[in-house]
Amino acid sequence: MGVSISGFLLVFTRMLLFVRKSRKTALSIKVTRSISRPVVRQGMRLQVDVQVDIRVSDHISVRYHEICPDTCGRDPEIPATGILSAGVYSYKLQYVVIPLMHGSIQFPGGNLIVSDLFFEMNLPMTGQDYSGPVLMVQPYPLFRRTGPDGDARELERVGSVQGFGVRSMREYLPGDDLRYVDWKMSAKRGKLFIREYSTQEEGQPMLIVDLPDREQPYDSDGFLQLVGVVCGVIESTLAMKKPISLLLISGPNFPAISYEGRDLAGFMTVLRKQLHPQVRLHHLYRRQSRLSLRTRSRQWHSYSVIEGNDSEGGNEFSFISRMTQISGRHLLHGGVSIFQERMARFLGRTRIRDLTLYSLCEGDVSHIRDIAALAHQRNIRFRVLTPIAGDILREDAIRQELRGISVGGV
Amino acid sequence: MNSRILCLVSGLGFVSILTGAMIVDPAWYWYPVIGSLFLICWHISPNRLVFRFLQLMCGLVGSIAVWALSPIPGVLSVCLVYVIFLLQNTVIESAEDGYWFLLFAVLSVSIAILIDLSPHTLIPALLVLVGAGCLLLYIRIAEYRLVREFRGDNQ
Repeated sequence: MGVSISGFLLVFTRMLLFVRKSRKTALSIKVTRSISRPVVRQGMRLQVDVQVDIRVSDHISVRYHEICPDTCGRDPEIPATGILSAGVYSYKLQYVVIPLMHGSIQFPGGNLIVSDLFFEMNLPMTGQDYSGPVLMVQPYPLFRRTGPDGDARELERVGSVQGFGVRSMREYLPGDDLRYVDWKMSAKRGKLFIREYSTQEEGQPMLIVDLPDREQPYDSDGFLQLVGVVCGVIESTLAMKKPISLLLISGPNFPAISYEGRDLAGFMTVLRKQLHPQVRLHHLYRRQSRLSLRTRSRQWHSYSVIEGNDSEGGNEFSFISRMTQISGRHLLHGGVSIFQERMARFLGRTRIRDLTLYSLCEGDVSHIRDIAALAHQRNIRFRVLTPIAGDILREDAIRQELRGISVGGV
Repeated sequence: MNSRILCLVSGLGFVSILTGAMIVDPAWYWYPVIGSLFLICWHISPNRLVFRFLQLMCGLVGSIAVWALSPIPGVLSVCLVYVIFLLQNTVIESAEDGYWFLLFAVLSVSIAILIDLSPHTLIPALLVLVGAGCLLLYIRIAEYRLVREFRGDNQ
């Protein structure tokens, strides 16, 4: 017993010593990471330089290796220092990453593998002092045009869609964009004056992106293709000095992200940060549309008339009359969802010429039908674009139906 | 003190304990075998780690044999075997390492004395089990705290 206790005590004291030395070594590490560019396009190569300064304690050996961000591809060889024994070291690591997804990517840090004669420990160095910087990845654009372009005419008023002609001048107010300051007039009057631009007659094209449900499986390749197309459409439209409007939805959920104008940097920021799958809290698949309710109600009514069951009091009759009552009540008092209300308000805010919805059309598509109905009411040209995938066409009846009626492939 | 000299002194001490046990023990014939194996492994050990480990194991067998005669010389011989092993692997070099080993040796001998004094076997065994559990828990917590300190709060 005494011998085994001694053995256990030896292991314990060595372990304590190992933990102390590992901590001392880990505290001495200084990692400085720099990237060649803070903003890059998806799929472009980016060089990362890492400076690692480390003081290794006695009787332990360490090895530091970098952790590559999950959404980046990298060289097959892991950038790492050699196995370092006691001493002071200054290492310079260089590696190349290729961002595969758009968004803001933070470099997570590295791993420190500490070992001695008895133990080995993997210490993740991913705290604030060891992680970063943040790499901003813009989506890669696929240059496609949304449709024929109308010639916009300048109107003699100030509006939300900014034109090119200066309509009026006014005094600077806090929050105004300094780029619109008319410096000549400001110098003459001794106060800051802002140029106000006239608006355009022609409605701007509007893109709606239906983001997939993050908690359900979705076609990630299709989504990436869709992001690229949206990015390309925005870039090509803005390159022609035309305004565009963007709205992001996720099924019938409004993440309340909309952006309009001509500012490419602003659009890119929105795309980078927000164009990702979202959590869908609300669904419309339980709700009957007014149209289907009316159709069904009419069917029940005709059935009762044909069968001549009006005056009889059977179970069948009571069921039909009950269903007719329920649908009638819904038609009278309800039938308009919050999504429809919000969408109608949004579409009514600006004059829209083209409405293009980008969606994977997976799962319930009731919200797309609602948007189509609203666009039809307002005489807006509406299209749904989905990624091309032959296999899904055969399997997914909803997608097939949508494609057959009004959908073009992206 | 030079680690080589310390190693030799410890080796001499261990062999002396074995010799003493050989004189007292009726089953004396085991001790020359264990001692010879220990010395052969020591002779080969500078080149290969596996022989160092074999030497440690031989030493522990000898210590267990001595423990059967008397617990305190048994634990002392264990400490000597460990110090030889650690010195050969250059684990004990600085003064700090020496203090840690001293702490280990004092603890080991104290526990051996306590076990020797105790008239029962069950109570010390239970105490040792509880103590071992607490130490293991302490080690796990120390390791977890170390990892959490450098991992950051975001994970």
